Amino acid sequence: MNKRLKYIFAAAVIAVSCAELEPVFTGKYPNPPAYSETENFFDPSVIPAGKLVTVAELAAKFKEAAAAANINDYSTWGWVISEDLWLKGRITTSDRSGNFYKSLYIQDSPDGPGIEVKIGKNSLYNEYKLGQEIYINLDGLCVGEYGWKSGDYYGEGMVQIGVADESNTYATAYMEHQYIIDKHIFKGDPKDIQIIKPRVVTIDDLPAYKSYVSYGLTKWNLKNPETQADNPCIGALVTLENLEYANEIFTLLYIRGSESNKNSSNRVFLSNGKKVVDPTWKVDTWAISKTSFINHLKAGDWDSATVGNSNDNYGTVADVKDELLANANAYSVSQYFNLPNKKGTVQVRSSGFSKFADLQMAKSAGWNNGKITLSGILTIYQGTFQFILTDNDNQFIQDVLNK
Amino acid sequence: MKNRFILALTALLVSISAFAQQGGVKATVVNRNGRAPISNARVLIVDSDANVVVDANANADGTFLFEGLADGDYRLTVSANGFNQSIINLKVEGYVKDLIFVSLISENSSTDIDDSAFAEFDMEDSGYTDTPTILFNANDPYNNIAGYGFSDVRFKNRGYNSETQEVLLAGVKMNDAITGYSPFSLWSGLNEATRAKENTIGVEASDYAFGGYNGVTNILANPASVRPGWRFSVLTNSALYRLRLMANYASGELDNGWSFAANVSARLGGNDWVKGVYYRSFAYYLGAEKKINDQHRIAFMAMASPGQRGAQNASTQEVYDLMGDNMYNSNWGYQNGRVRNSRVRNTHEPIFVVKYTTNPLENLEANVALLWRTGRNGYSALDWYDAADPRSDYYRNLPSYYYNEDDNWGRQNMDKANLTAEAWAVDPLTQHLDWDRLYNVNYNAEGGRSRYILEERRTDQNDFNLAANFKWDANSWFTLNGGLNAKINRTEYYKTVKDLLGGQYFLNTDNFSERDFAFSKEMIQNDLDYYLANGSAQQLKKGDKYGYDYYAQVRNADVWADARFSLGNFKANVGAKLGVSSFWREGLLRKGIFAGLDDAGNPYVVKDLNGNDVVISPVDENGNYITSKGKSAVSTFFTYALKAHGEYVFTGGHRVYANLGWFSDAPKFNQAFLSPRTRNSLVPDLKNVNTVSADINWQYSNNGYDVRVTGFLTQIMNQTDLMSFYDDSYNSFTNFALSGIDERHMGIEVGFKVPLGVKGLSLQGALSWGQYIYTSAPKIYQTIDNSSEVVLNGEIVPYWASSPVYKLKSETELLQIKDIDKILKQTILPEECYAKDEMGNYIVEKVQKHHVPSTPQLAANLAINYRTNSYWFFTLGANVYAFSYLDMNPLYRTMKAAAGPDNKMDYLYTSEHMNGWLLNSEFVDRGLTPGEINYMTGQEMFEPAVVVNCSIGKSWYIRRTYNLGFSLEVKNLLNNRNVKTGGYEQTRLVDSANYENYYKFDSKYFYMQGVNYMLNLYFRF
Repeated sequence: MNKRLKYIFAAAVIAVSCAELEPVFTGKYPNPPAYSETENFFDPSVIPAGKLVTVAELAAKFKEAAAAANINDYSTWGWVISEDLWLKGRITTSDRSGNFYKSLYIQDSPDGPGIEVKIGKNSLYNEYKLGQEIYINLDGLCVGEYGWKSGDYYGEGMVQIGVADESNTYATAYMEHQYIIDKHIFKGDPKDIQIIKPRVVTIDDLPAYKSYVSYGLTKWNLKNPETQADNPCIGALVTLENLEYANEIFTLLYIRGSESNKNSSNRVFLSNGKKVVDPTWKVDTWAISKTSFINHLKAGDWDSATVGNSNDNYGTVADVKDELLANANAYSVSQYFNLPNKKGTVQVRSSGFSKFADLQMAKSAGWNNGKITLSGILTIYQGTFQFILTDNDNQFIQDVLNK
Repeated sequence: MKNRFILALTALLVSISAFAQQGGVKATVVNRNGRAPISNARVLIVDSDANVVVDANANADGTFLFEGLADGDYRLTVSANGFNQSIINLKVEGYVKDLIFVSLISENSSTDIDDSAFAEFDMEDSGYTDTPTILFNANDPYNNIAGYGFSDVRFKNRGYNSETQEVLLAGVKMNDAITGYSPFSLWSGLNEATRAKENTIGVEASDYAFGGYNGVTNILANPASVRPGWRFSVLTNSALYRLRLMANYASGELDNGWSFAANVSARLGGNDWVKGVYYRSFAYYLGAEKKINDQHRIAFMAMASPGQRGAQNASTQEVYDLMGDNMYNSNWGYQNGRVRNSRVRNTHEPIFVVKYTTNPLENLEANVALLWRTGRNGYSALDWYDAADPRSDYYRNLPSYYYNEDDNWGRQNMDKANLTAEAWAVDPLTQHLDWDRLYNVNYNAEGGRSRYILEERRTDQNDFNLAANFKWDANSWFTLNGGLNAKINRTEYYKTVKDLLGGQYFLNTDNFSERDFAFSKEMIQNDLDYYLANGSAQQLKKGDKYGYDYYAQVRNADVWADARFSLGNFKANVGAKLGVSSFWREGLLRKGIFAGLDDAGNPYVVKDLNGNDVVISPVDENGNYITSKGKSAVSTFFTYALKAHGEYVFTGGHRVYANLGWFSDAPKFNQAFLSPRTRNSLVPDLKNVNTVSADINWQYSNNGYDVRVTGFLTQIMNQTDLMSFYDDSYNSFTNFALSGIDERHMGIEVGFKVPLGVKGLSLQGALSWGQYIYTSAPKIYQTIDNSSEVVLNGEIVPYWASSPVYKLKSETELLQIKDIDKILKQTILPEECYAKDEMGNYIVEKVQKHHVPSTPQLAANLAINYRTNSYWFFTLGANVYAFSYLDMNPLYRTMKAAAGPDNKMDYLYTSEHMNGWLLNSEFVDRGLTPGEINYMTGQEMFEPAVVVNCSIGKSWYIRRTYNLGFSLEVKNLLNNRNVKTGGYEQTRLVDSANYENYYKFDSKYFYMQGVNYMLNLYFRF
């Protein structure tokens, strides 16, 4: 009996001890290997012949699809691709300094147009490197045109790639979930980095200006405007030289977070309208951070700005200052610059969340008596072109990021 | 076999007082396991001629005194229900012989199993019993069951928080100085060394401490109290860890007066239910005690439970449903194919004790103990800088973020929702943390600056204690207990880089501040002084401190006395305690956003991005500089308490007693600062917490029957609470401080154990039925770690204590509403769906009281026990739990949340509304609708649950020297996996598309594990 009990006891000890030998919870975890050493990166040869399109071709196909579907209003229509179609390109933007948000631009050639890929995640620069090649399986994605406008103020926007927006608010939506991203976006070899340098473009290359001259039309009634299908500057990383500051801004503030920002009574335009004395509204920085917003309000810089859309009048900022302060936020700003020889203007649009938002333009590298040469992505919004600073070389914010 | 025990026991008992009176005998009858007094034991004294000279019961406190015995030899037999009787040969020699203790061995102990054995099966971090209720008291049937039997769920006795239970180690109060939490984890795994304990319950006084209103547990822990001999055990279970190995040795008191004891254990492995939860924990105890002579005794003890434990995380029901598993744990992921948990506790907090006991007089005993607790307490978590949220169950990774059938949520992307659901079904990288990806982001990070790291949040205590107490038995009717306690606690809160996850360094900047204060390099610094001295932020390596670093300084002292009177069958005691409690924060880092003043007393002026001077030191609403570094104001509170107890013992085993107590306690450090990680600012309106508590009890113990029935009522006033969590809408931690929380706890406790006619067969049961509710509308203060702004500043929380439920129109009336089918799909029904009275006021259908959460307000147990003479035992029992409530967050009970973004309710309207929950079109015009109130403010009650458990055990004696045995417990035999044991509301709001309502984030829950077992094998000699 005793012996048998001892054996039972010993066997039980061994049995339960073995259970501990499962290969987890050792407390030691060797570093996993780098993907670059273990992963098979995307092999372009899997793309069937004829199924790889360029950005320009994709934009053209979008217009064709719209025409085939008898679409007259692009503002919320997206072309959901249901064929084996691929796009490739090298990444030209980084969201590190905060001026790009949740998306990246790619170009399929140094001279070609670019296109926005609405990935929908923060801090993409950690995983998508400047100059890295990506391949996009477009099957199931949606191509739409952001910034298209109908009516008297008709104008083209930017052809871009995302997923369908079932809420019909925009033409496309962000992919957002990693599973969706991983189904469509494939990284090329991370060791194959070829930085696309911004190419200098002149006034003759710019789409709106060209249309302007060619057709002798005002910028608000362009009849034959251009997209990436027609103009290789659109969506591309370009440099505009010798821009001259036009002493004018455009920004749109929202008074209450508790109300639709489409309501006229909830809007304040800081722009050059309604006999404004100072069209800069004392905003001499690239954008407005939350702290800067509060400081401007407290200083009374915008007290005379009217509340409401152009034809409305709901009082002035002075009347709603408390509500604005309670809803303090960072705001994007479009700073206007004249093209050389004042043959038109360009809006340099920067995010209030960019890390250089509060940098005074006059303190920026290269600023010379109101003139500056800037690099960024050229975009079209409602027929006018805008410019988003890329800050790829950290020209503005290196100090902030690294200290 | 039983006799052998008794003989061994007898040898321990002989201790003779030198004090000579008339012949007689006295002693206290105690449970050998823990030396808890045994009430009303039967004492039989038979002379050498077999004449019964005494047949009486000992007192309720276990004491007995019989005088007038003629000199000679006697046989003393002491027996009590649930214990083996003890027989002692007694020689009376003209004076009252003091046996000090007569120790009885529990019938259970003969199989080495009592309920406390199962409590060895500690469950911290399992998600449902992080606050063990240890109430064991062998002859109190309720406590014996409630102490362990209700551990299926989080059970708080009488609904009290764990910090209200005073836990002493060697007479020193061990409740955490900062939080008040009971400290059982400090000695978990040392079951043998800490087995001996004494308990009181409720308001009852203890010999060792004044106590509060939730009982006192004193763990003796001195070597002489550890069960002598060798003991080895192997335990395996499927609920927490695979394996526990334990060894224990105690010498007992040697001839030279020394006693030695040692206890070591290891707890290792994972479990069957919650992946990622594991133990690699060890424990050690060493003690030596010297009895210098009959008057002096000194003991030295050192113990700790070092080790690591992987933690479980609560998730929303959506996540559990997506995984098809209520035991899903989002804390872990695969790294190189191996499970790695991001949330691991890593602790080593040794305790050193010196205890001196003296008996200068035969009727006076005094103890003095010095105790030092030190060491490390770490809890790891992921941290990241400018990178995507890595958590798998982050709300943006869930289908509900993309689609809701109510358009007003603004979530209409069904395709994305379906793809996301597909991802959860098939993609392991969606289901769990993707460690490999985090490493690869770091590998590719510019300059080697890690984007993701593993941080360790440290709470390292240095806790010095002095505790002294005395007991003076002045005469047969008066005893005086008293003592003093002093505590100096310095706890350092900071975090370190635990793992750079493949990167080269991490930068000591505040990534939460960077978004709003990018214009200033200084303002984003976690350590501004370092930055100013070196011109750049510190590049952190593994082990470096970062983020925050401050001391919580606490000083407590109190004196107490308790006078006990005894007159025949009547007993009473009254006691009082006076104390003082101080605390302050001492910041060790100067954060850039709360820089305060420099050494010269000037605010910090720095250059912004543009080279312009800017003052970065913020001020509060009173114009005082908000500072993170240096000493805060010292908060001092005077505390006091009063207690009274009266009892009467009737013949036949009946006892009626009552307790009354008034307590004025200081708030705790962890409730007192608005944002202790970042600044010295205190919660306004800090006050003493006042509590009044009373209970009345009937106890019956006779002929194998043990019954207790108790009624209790406790009112707690002026509590404060602080909740802190990460809110990505603010890109920061947000803090909610509540002040003025009142609670009322009332209810009954019933416990019984009755024999069923067959020897060894008994029925036992326990019932805890109460109502633990909030009774006040507290004030709320909301702050954000990266801002000096006070978002909510002392606003009333109107729906904290209760909320109205407004009546819907009848079905017939509802059907007359246009598009009613579509309307009924809305999360918040419009006001047209609600019934009004003739005055136009919405009809209040009922008022829902809000309950103290995370404990069933009804818990009941019924079990059958069977024990054989051959040391088998069997237990089969069922527990019922009902009326458990979800932990509420205060935000959802504010007017801001209820009325929604269109809130125009001012103070007057809010007051009018709170008066009877008046609601009509006037209030609707101000944004407050019945649908919003019904949706936002109520409290979730969990479904009731029935849990069936059983246990079996047996022990064998081998050659009368060795004892081998096992116990097996199987819990949740019905494998019920849908029992919510706790959870909490997320503190986030979602704007509706029409900007009229807020929606809630889904709540997170913990569930009870399915069927699980615990097998314990032991061997001792």
